[in-house]
Amino acid sequence: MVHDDDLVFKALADPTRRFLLDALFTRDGRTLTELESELDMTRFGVMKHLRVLEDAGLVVTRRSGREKLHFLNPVPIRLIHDRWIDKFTAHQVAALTDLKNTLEDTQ
Amino acid sequence: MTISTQTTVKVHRIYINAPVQKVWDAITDPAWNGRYAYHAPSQYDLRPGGLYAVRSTPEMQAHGAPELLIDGEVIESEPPTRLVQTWRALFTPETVAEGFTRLTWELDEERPGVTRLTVTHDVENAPNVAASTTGDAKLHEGGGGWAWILSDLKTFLETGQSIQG
Repeated sequence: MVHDDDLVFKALADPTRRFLLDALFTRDGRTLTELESELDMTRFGVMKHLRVLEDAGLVVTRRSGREKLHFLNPVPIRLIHDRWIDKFTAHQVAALTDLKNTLEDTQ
Repeated sequence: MTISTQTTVKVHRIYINAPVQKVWDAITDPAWNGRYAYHAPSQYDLRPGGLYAVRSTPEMQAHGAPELLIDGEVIESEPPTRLVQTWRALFTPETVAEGFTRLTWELDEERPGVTRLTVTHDVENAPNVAASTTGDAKLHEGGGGWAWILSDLKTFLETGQSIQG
């Protein structure tokens, strides 16, 4: 699966999936059973959400003996930050700087 | 209540539009690995027991960084797909005290010309190393950490330019 911004945005557009990411951020490398115990949802439902997160690259799984552990992968969010957010926030900062210069010039 | 031991492994995965060998070179060859992210060249002696050393840039030293920024040892080297090494951050007394952590680089050909890079950092008993490699905007403009380094590695390999210029 090649990283795709659309998949990341879709994966993030759901409160349960954001909850799962927050849970992994707090404590990484958890099993389905551990994650399921924190949600009022069927095992199958949690699996489906984890699958969406995995397809988006936001969760990476690793086998450890008989267990499948889920890890938060922050890289896709970083890529969106670097490609989108930086561009817009840089613009905002520039706009404020322009405003400051204009106001100071008129004094 | 869940009973579980806290894992202290951080996994970072990125897909890069570049062949596996090119990604390997960008990580291990100082002619390439000093040209993105922190722009601090890394020396690798790619054999078991071989030394790994990252030297700080003059700009970093002006901000008080030690000349030798990160050191470690190569444990396994299977060019161009797998590299296991130790990794010790020498930039703060806290990270020095935590000693050597273990870092694994895995490069897989997703399809011809596309590499799946997975960086696994075992930071057990090294909370300060974990914090400094997670990326913190307060510590470093641009956030720093593995996610930021890998994002810039991708940009560099795909565009020939680093985000940092």
